[in-house]
This record gives sequence, structure tokens and C-alpha cells, in this order.
Amino acid sequence: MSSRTQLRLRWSLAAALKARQVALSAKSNVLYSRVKAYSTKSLRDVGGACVQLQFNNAPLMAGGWVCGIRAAHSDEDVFLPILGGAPGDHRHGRIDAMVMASPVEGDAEQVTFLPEAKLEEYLPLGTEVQVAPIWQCNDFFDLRRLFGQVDEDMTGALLLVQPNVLIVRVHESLCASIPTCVRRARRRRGSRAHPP
Amino acid sequence: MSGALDVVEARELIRRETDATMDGANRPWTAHRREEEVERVIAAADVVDGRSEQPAITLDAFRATGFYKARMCARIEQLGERAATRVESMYKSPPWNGVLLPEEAQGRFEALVHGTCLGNA
Repeated sequence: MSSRTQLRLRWSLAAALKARQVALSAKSNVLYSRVKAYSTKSLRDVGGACVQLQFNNAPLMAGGWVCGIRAAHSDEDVFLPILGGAPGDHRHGRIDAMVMASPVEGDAEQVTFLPEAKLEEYLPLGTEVQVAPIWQCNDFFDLRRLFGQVDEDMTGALLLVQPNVLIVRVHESLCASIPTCVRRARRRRGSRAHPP
Repeated sequence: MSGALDVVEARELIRRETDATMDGANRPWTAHRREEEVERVIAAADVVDGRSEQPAITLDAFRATGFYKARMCARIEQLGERAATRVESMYKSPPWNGVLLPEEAQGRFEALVHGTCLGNA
């Protein structure tokens, strides 16, 4: 697997222009929203940037979407393409939108997402934004749910298996990297929790 | 539920997370490479109370691992590829086909932001 942990998202300018046109045809299905916040921590951690839009009434089905957006201060019938993630968890009713309208330095034929500073400038908090859904590309990935399922299903499983070389090596390297004062504090805490 | 995963659970999470997907080099995941990822993830683990002093990893710590960040990049980039492919194919069909003149479809960046006030922001 690639060890790259910084987002590299590019679209051809031609694809972005076509998305702008296709979104225009979806304008009869526009949903109304307002700017609620900007980038999530997870997205910022990988170098991405988005604007979080809160739908006024009907939300989008959870998943990954390509849509057009039109800010209230744009001309009539003018949309910008976005790649969006509509969460299915406690944030259902929002979409995290990466606006694909930033030039790529040194490559006039490609575009990328608007950086956070530009988003804040262009779409201030509370701005009304129309969202024209074009296509749902995939399902919503819910890490919290997946994590909870795994934790619940496998509780205690470690007690049933023989410790293997991996666990021993990892545990040893972990202990070696922890400062002595922390290890002592943990031993004290452990002895209180499990008296002999 | 303890709110943290041990080694076995982390392995299961990574298996579920990578099932039916390709790795960063667009190859199917192998058991060997999954084990490598488990090792990296658990290297970020901490000892959590109630887990018999075994290393275990919390959701927040998991999110901070290189594995999770790389998978997040891959998911977003795959979304971008799918979306672009879909838009291209929709555009070839009515009613969009031919809406843009060939030179417009190749385009200039100014055409993309025209009328949006984005250039003024």
C-alpha cells in the first residue's frame, strides 16, 4: 500500500467544465443549504479542505457524491462542481463539499479543490447555497460504526489465542519507547486495579 | 465494548476496511501486506486499562495512523476518479451532448469560474 498520507486530488479542466453543465440540467432537483462549518479534522489531517453544508429540509442520501453548487451571490444558472461526502452518522443532513474550482499551478489543464482560506472567503458562514445532485458515486464509509462492530464482536478474543511473536515484539517495542516515569505510574495504577 | 481495539480486533478492522478494495499501487490486498499494516497500526497503540496490559488502540489513535490517512486519501481520490468518469459519460448523452463547443469543452479556467464571483473572492 502507498504510504502517502497527503491528498492529491486532480480533475481535468474539461471534466470540471462538463460537470458544471451537467449540474445545470439537475437544477430542478436543487436542495437548499447553508454553510455550517469548514474542514473536518480528518480531512484537514490529509491536506484536504471542504465546506460543510447543512441542508434546510431534505438531506442527501448518505454516500459519496458529485454535485454542483450555486452560491446565493453567483449569477443565475451557474454551478461549480463539488465532490461531496454526505455522512450517515450523527452528522446526517450535511454534506462535506470539496469545491473543484482551484487552478493547479504549472498545469493549466487540471483543477483541484479550493483551499480552506478561499472557501472561508467565498462562502462565509451562513451563506445560502443550492446543491444540484448529479450522481451518487459510492456508499458512506462509517469508520466509527465499523470500529464499534469490530470491538463488540471480538471482545476477549485476545485471551483465547496464543500470544504470537508479533504481539510480543510490538509490546516490547512499545514499552521500550515509553518514558520510565510513565511505565512506573502505569505499574502502580495496574497494581491498584489488580491487587495480588 | 471497551472503546479500544486489541491486536486481533485491529486485524479484523483492517481486513474489513480493505476488503474488495485495491491498495495504493492498485493491487489487491494480500494477507502479508495486511499483516504489515496491522503491525504499523499497533505500533501506534497504547496500553488501555482493562485490557490486561496488552496494547490496544482507540478510535482517535487509529485515525491518527498512517494507515487510516492513506486509506482516506485513497477513498477520496477514488471518489474523484469515479465522479469524473461518470460526468464524462453523462456528458456524451442527451441533453448535454454538444452543449459545450469543442473549444469550450477543452476550455480555459476562466470559463469554469465565470459568473460565480469566485475570481473576486
